[in-house]
Amino acid sequence: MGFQLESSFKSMDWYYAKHGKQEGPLPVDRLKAMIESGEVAPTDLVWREGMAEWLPVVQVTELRNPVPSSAISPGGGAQNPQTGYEPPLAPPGPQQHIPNYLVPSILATVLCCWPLGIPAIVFAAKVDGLVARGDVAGAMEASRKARMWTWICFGSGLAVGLIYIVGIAALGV
Amino acid sequence: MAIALGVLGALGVSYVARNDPEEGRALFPSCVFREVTGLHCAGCGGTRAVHALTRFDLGTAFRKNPLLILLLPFLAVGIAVEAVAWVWGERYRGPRIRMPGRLIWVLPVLIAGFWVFRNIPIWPFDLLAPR
Repeated sequence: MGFQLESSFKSMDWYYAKHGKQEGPLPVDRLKAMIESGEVAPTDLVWREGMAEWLPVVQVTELRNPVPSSAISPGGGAQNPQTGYEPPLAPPGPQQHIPNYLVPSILATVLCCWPLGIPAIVFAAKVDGLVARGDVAGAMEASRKARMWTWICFGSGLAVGLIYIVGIAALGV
Repeated sequence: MAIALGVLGALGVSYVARNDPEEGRALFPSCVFREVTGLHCAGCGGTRAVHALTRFDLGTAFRKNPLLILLLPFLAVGIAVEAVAWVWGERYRGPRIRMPGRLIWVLPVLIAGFWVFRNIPIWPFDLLAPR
């Protein structure tokens, strides 16, 4: 999924608005360069297909961040850039779901009796807060770490349990 | 994977329902953490709590592992929601288990704190240990 979003994003053309006039389309690298040089101000509105509405540059994470994020809701791009930048009639489309792994991390911690589950829960708890703040890249990272620690907890708990049982059996009960 | 986990879970619960963990006859591997450290972990008493729950004995279940019983409704809803979302796949737009941003610290602190405090053999902390 990440790959798909990334590749479709790369080819996307951006529009920006300066002094009430719409400019574009232009590739993301060009827009970033213009932001860098100050030609496009942080408060100027920008839009690309897939975005539900025009947003100031500062609010678009993917223009600040070198890592492309999918903060922009997919499917909300019914608006035609040629018609200007009036606010969209429809609410933003459903955002991409980032699993928070909250339930698996708690289950792994409680079932495996293993302190390694605590980092899993910590990362899992962070995911939704980061999404709410618009930090999709951070949320994805926390989600990935939550999944990793859940598996580490589960796997090591299982391994230690098996080693222990085999050890007991080998030593003779 | 999800189906395997579901079946495993159902088998586990039905096994726990039919066998009393405290009788010691059935096969119940004891917690490695407890065997090695002698301490209670956050999940200790969980098996006994689930056994008590299958007998609708909420009081006993709560005494065995209060945290698990408190979290159980959330876990149950969470598992159900994730199961539905998994079946629906990409089209699923329903509710998800969410952690409000301001409450991020609650769960880690709750579980880690529970883990630590239930090992303190002084009242009132000893109330948290499986009884």
